[in-house]
Amino acid sequence: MNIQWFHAIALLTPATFLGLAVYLRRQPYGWPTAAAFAPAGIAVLAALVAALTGAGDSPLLGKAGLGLAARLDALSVTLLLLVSTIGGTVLHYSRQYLQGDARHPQFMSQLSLTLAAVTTLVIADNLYLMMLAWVAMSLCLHQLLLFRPERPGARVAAGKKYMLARVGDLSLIIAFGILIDTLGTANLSELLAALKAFDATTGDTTGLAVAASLIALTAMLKSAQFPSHGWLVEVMETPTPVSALLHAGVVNAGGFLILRFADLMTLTPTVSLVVAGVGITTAILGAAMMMTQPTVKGSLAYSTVAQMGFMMAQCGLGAYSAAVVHLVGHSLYKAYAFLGSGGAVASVREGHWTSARQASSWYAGLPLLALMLGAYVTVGATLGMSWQEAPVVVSLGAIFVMGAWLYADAGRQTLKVYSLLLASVAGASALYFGIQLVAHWLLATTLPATPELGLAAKILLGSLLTACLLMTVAQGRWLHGRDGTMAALRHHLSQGLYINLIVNRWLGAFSSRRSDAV
Amino acid sequence: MQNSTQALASAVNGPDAENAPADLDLTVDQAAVAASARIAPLWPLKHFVAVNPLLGLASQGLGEAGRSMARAAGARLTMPRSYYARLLAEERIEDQDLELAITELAGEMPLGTTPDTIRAEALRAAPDHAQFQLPTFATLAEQATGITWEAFLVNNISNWASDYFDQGVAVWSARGEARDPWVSYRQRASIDRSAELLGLNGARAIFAGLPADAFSLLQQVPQTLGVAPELLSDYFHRLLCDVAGWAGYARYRGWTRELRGENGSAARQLLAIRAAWELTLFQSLGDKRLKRDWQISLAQYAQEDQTQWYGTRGADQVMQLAFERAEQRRMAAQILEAQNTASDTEESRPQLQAAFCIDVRSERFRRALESVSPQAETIGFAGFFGLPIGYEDETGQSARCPVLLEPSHYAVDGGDSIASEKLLTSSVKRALSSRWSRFQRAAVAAFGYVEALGVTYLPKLYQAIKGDEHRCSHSASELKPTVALDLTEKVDMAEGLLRGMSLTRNFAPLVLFVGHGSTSSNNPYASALDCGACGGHAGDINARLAAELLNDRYVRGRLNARSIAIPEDTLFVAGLHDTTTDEVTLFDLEGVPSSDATQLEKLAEQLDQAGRLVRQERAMSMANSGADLDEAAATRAGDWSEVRPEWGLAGCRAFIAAPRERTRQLSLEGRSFLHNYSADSDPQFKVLETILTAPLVVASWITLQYYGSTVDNRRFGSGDKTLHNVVGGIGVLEGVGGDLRSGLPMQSLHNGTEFVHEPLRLTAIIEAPRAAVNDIISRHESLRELVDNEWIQLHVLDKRGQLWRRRPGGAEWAAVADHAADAERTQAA
Repeated sequence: MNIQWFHAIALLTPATFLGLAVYLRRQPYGWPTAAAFAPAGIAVLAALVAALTGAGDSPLLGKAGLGLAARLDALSVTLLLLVSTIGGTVLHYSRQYLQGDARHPQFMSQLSLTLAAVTTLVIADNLYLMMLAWVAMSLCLHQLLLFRPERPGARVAAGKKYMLARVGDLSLIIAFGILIDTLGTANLSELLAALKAFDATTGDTTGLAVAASLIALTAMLKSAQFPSHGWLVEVMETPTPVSALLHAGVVNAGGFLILRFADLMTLTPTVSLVVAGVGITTAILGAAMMMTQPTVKGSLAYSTVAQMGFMMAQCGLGAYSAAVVHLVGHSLYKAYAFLGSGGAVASVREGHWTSARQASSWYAGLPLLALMLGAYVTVGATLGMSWQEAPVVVSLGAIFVMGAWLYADAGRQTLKVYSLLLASVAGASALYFGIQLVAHWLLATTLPATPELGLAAKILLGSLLTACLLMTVAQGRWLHGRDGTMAALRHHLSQGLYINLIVNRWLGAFSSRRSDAV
Repeated sequence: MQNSTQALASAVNGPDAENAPADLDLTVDQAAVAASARIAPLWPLKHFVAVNPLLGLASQGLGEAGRSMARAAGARLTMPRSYYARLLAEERIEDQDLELAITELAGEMPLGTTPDTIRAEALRAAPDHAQFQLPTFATLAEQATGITWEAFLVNNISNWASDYFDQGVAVWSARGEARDPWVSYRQRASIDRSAELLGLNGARAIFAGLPADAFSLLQQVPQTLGVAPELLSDYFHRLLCDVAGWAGYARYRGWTRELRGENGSAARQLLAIRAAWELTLFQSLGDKRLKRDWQISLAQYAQEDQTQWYGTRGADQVMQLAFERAEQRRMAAQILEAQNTASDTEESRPQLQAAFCIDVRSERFRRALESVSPQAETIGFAGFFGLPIGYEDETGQSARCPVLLEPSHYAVDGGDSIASEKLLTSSVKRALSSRWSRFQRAAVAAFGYVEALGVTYLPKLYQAIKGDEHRCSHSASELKPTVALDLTEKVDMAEGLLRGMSLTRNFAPLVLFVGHGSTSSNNPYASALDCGACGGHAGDINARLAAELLNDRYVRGRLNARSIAIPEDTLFVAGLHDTTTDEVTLFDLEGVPSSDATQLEKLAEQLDQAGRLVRQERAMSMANSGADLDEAAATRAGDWSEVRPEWGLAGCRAFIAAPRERTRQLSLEGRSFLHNYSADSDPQFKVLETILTAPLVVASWITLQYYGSTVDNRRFGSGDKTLHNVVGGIGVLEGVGGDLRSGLPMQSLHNGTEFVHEPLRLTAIIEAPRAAVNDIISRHESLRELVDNEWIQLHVLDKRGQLWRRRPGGAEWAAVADHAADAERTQAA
């Protein structure tokens, strides 16, 4: 038997989710925990197969290029593991969380169907299957967003998301059409090989550039990039596990799309630059808006917007393996944060949530920042990640140090504190670079290397760093005035720059004739 | 304790100063005060306390209050008719109950009402409560412009309030904002562009032009909008109900001042904000036609007549009262029967006396403990054990006594020798974890944070699924609390505590004080399951301090002089009853003499057995299945996806103040507040006065909170827990916006198929002379209102075992047990 058949085991993950969708509709409550994590178990087996036999794809279960086939490589295996783990967690959580609800069976079933679609998407080996999974994922999720259909807010958010998703679908269909037409295959492995072999200096890239632009557009719509982020911060009108699945799973699909077609992106640097620009804008605005949100879920939602922006920036700047690290880390963090968002009252009770203010004036704190950055860079260089070799990874990691500086500077400063601080910065840096190195090594054959940074890319990177530094300093010192420009800025940001309001009005959300009275 | 008793009693009356009845020529300010007083204060979730949602409407009966709430908020105060129809069909309400209710409500019902007409009404649809709701200019503008202005402005105000009151969720906030709410809102409205983007031209300028002072602003309302003075307080109430949640929270913030008799103005600030929208909409949109329509609406305000209300919705009140009478009929039969079978046992020294909180959940445990240990005597008393204290740690001060009291002293950790060391470790730990959680929330650090540390959330998720994470038990640290009191204060408190629970002689060798708290995970409503008498906290600190007080040799010496002789061999021990798992933890056993060790071991064993019995009893309602009920309860406590860790006080319906012998034979199903009271040892009826004015009132608040949340969860409850979004660390929004929610979530009342809580107003049964009860009621206005309007349905059990119900609106009593005779007597009168 062909060893490639082993790769087909990955298909059992979505198949199990499908099976669960049927089973949980009949028995939404009182099932064994193991059932929720069976798909993740299969994903582990698939990962083992990939590790032992190397990346590859299963034979096609179908005809004429149409049918089921799984591609197993570092990217798809990572995402398969991630999605099935988070999916299992969310299913397990929902078993008790919605117990007794009249529509518990439908909820479990729709959740499981959505997961079947997402896991199919990440392992799909041909563009037809991928397209199908892409649309199915969105339609299944739509049902979940409307789980409380009587809530006008739920209808508005779901409606908005639905429209954007259809635009994305259309754009992706055209992009896939162009790719199949240009490269003559719908098989992903062949397609990626063709793209790798493509010589941009001789070949005509117009078609590819259009395809890349459309894929980027689809990805940005899916990953809630500014200014299409509105729906993401409004979908708390549905039970918490849906938010967790959305913020820790589905919203990443945009990032996945760009990473999956990274070989195409490297061929079209202008498109990549636009992605980076949009990502950086989203990251900065999202972070600023996040800081102003007084509700826990609102704050988490804007945090997702910012993190998605950051991931897009990494994709646009070509730091692909770093983007994967980010995607995985953020998903795990956000799943935990959303599912545990009921603990916010306990946190307030324990006095955890007070804002930091810098003790010294901002320039007096600069030597400390320099020291911390020095420790960070030294650790990086020691581990073989200098600025020359991995400029994006090194630069973006520095943002983490800035955040640490804000809190370090807010406390008491003695020699002991200083040395402790530097030690922990060194430790955290080692962890950061370590993870980046491992990811780079794992993904080296799957994802293209970071292309040389052009001037425009360097300017974008520089502006991101500057903005982050400014925000850090501002957070420590200037933000808390109640009047004047900063207060006005804060207010407009807290309203999401009114984008949702304008769009909602346009959609008729405020019409007394359309919506029922709240 | 005497002092605190008086404080307690006067505090009950204090806030009532605001509940002045409506007067025809109210000035604007008085109208605003009257409207604000109808908004119940809302405690934050970090120490959630049950409040009567109809606090300001206690001077009205169910029918009148129902009409007020329908007019102000479109709210309902009775269940949907299908609910009563089912009770009638199941014969839980019988014709005799309907007859009694019809007779009692004769003045409010159309002539010719009979049980049959009520039965027919139960099957007929009645006009929706929302139809009675009064119009505002915003609702009128909505019809004219097609824009949902009211929903918009509620969101807008709620959005501002989330920010203004934020306790630390937003990193970048207006914290430390000291300006009055209206001033802050006006400033914000003068830069906020939302209204203009929706087509409200010049909104910012209009807001900026409004008076900077809330009271001047409110003065403008009647002039500009043409609201007649006699309509003003109803109109203001209608406006406030749009933002009742935040107005309630504002009232909570001024509560301490209200307790001291000052006028809280916070709710009126919210009123000013809501009224400013009326003015702004009027100024921006008010063309000739709209202004004329508004005058027509106002005329309807004035003409709104009561007959329509009682004509269409009067039957609901009959059904509700009949339901209550039916339940009382059965309860009375149960209690009277128990008196016949109970034999007077001669007094011997019990082996154990265990005092529990009056909380309905204690009843189950007390019953179980008594069955395990027949020699034990259990006692019911308010779970703060009469200590008007608070507790202080690095995170600040919190009250550990009922909200009607202000703490007189603050306890701190460090009552034992090794405390300082433990204290240091715990404070360092807290400082570190707080720094760490702040760092996670730094705006930009989060980008790198998830890359470097996101993977560490994998084991955290695993822990959470296993159920080890997130568990937040609300008992304080394992450190021993201590409070600085001088000897006289100690002796006063100790005496008040013992007299209050009628425990002044015949002490057992072991006396247990058991507070209660709940364990749950990831639960914003965790403190709602804790002890209300301890201000929405676990009761361990109070129990430990009370035990320590009474183990004090000097205190006992002085008590002796006050004729309370505690035997040398009596030991007081503190414990905490975890109401999720029904486990009892005992505290501070280190210094206990070895002679007591055996009885303590035996006690621990008995508590274990009792806990097991209670878990079995609760298993049905908790849908705990499987062989191991003990583990099922523990799992619930640690499960982060559990929305119903326990049923809390759901089912509560009765308050009984009597010696335990009256109820010891009975299973009260964990639905009754039990307070020990023996009139024999209370010649001056001082203790009775405290019981009637404090624990009884608190029990009625709790019962009415459950009542309100059940009959109209949209208005008095907090909706669907799965949509809850914690706001500002204070409370919850349901979903993405809307007003701050008050009351209890559906999941605390309803099991998905049916309501677990049955909405019944409190049935109180007091064993005391009727004259003494009448006398106390006549001296306490707020209590009189609650009793006369049947929010508390007061019964007295006399020495001969006869049960009497106090007639509404007077000092008359009707003998219960024979409904037919009762009805006859009433008719004759």
